[in-house]
Amino acid sequence: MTTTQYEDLIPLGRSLPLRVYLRSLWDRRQFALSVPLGELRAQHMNTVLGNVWYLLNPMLQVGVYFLVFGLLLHTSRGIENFICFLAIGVFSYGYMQKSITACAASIVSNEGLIRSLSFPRAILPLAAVVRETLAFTTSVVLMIVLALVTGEALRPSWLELLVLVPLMGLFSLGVGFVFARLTDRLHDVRNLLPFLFRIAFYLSGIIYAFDRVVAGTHHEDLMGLLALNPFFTYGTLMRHALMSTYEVHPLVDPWLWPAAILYPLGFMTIGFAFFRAAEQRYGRG
Amino acid sequence: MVDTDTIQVPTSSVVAATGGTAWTADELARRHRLVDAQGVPFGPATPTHAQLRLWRQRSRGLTDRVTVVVDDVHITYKVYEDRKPKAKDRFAGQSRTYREIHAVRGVSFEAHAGEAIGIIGRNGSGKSTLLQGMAGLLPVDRGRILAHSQPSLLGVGAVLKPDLSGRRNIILGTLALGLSKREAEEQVDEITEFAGLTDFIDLPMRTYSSGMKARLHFSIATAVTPEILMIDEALAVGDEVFKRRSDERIRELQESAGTIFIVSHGLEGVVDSCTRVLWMDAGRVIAEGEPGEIVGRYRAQMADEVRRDRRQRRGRGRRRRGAARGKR
Repeated sequence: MTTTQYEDLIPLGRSLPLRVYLRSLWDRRQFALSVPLGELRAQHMNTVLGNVWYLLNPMLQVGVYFLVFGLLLHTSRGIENFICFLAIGVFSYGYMQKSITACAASIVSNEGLIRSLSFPRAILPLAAVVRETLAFTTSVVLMIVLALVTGEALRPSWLELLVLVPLMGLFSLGVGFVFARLTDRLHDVRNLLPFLFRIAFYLSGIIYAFDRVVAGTHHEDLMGLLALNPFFTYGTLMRHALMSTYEVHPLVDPWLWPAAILYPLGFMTIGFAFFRAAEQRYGRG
Repeated sequence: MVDTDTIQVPTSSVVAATGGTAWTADELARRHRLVDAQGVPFGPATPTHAQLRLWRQRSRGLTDRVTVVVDDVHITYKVYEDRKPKAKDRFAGQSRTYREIHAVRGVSFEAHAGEAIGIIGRNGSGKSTLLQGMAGLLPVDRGRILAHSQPSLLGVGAVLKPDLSGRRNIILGTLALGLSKREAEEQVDEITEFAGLTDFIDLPMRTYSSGMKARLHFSIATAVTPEILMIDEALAVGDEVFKRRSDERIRELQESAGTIFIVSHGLEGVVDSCTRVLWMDAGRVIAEGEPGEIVGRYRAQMADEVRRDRRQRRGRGRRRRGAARGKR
C-alpha cells in the first residue's frame, strides 16, 4: 500500500486548522439562528401569560430596583430621570450577565448533543449569545419607550445603540468562551458565577452614578480607570446615547469608546483561542 | 473502468464455501436470490450480501481509499472508587481513590470506504472503549487514530435534548450536522416516518422508550450521509421492523462508500451486514477476517465458556448446599 493513501487523513484528537474550523462554523450559521428562536418560543410555553413574560420580566425588575434604591434608599440623588437611568443600567448589565452565564452552561448542558454528533462546538456559546440578544430586544424596546415617556428627546445619538448592542454581544461571547471551557472542566465554576456577577453589579454603577461617587473623593485623578470595567463602560455609553440629561465625568469620557471597541476585539481573540484549544475534550464529562 | 456487472469475488473464500468449485458471479447472485426468497442459508462460509457488495465496489475501484487508520492504540481511563480512602491514601494527599482501567491495549487496523466492520467480543473486552476513543470521547494515551473526517458514534440511551420534542430534536440535530433550515424542515417528516414516530414526534424526548430514542437517533444521524458511522449496540433495542429498516439504511451508506463500525452481540446481524469482523478480547484484537468464519470461531469458544461456567457454578452450588446442611 502506498503512502499517498494516507495523505488526506487527519489525526483525530487534534483540532482542525483555523480556516477549516471557521468555515464549518459558517456552514452551521442556521443552527445559531433558528435553534435560539425555537428555544425562546418554547421557554414560556407552560405559563399562562406566555410570551408576555419577555416584557413583564424586565418591567418588574426595574420596578423592584426603583422601589428599593429610588424610593427607599435614595441613591438617585443628583441623577435626573432616575427610572430611565436605572432601566438602561439594569437591562444592559442583565444582558451581558445572562449571555455570559448562558455561554458558561452551553457546553455542559448540551452534552448529549456533543456526544452524539460531530460539529464545531463553538456554535453552542454562539447560539447562547444569539438567544440572549433576541431576548434583549424586548428590553431595548422597553428602554426606548421609557425614555420617550419620561421626556427624553429623540436624538441622532440613539443610533449608537445599533453599534453598542453588537459590541456588548461580542464582548459577552468572548468572555463566555472562556467560561464555557472553565465550566466544562470544573463544574464548580457555575456556582461561583452568580457571586462574581453580584460583585460586578455593585462595582459597575448600575444603581448609582459611579463616576460621581469617585469624583466626590480625592481619587479623582484615577477616574480613567473606571473604563477598565467593561460593564461600567457599556452601561454608561448606553445611558449617554439615550439620555440627554446624562453627563459623563470629563475625565472618564474620552476612554469609554476606545475601551468599548477594544474589549470585544481582545476577548473574542483570546476567548475563542482558549475555547478552541480544548475542542476535543468537550463532552468527555 | 471495470464492467460493473461482473463481480470480482476473491476466489479463496468462494472456493472454501463450495468445497473446491468456484462460483461465477451469476451463480452467486442466483443463490442469493434463492436465499432472499426462501430464507434458507446455504452453507456457513457463503459470501454474505455485505461482502458481495464490497467485492462489487472493489471491482469498481471504490474501496482502495483508506478512511480510518488505527495504529497501536491504547486507552486507559480512570474510575473513581466509591469507598472511604484509607489512611495511606490520605497520607499521599488523595482524598478520592481511583482505579486505572487499561481497556484497549494496542489495537491496530485500517478501514476502507465501503466497509462495514463488526466488532465482537465479550463484555468488557474494550469494544465500546475503542469506539469512544475513535469518537474523541476518551483520550488515546498511546498510538494514534487517523481518519478522513471526525466519526460520529451512536450509543445506547443517547439523547440530544431530553426536554425538547422529537421534532425539535430532529431540527436541532440536522442543523448541527450542517443542513440549512429549509433542508432541515423538509427532512423532518421523512426522518419521523423512518423512525416510526409519527404519533409521538411532538412529545418530549425524555418520555420515549429506549427503542424509540435509538430509532430517532439513528434516523437523525443517518439523515446526512455520514462518512464514518459507529454504532454501539444502539440498534439492539429496536424492534424487528426497525432492524430491517436500519439494515437497509446501513447497506445504503455502505454503497455510498461510507465506513461503518458495528459493535453488537447480535451475531447473525453482524454476519449479515458486515464485510469484516474484528474479535476483541481483553483489549486486543485476537482475530480478524471474514465474518462467517470469525463469528463461527467466536460462537464455538463462547459455547465452551458457557459449559465451563455452568460446571463451575454447579460445583459451587453443591459446596454451598453442603455447607448449609453441615451447619444444621
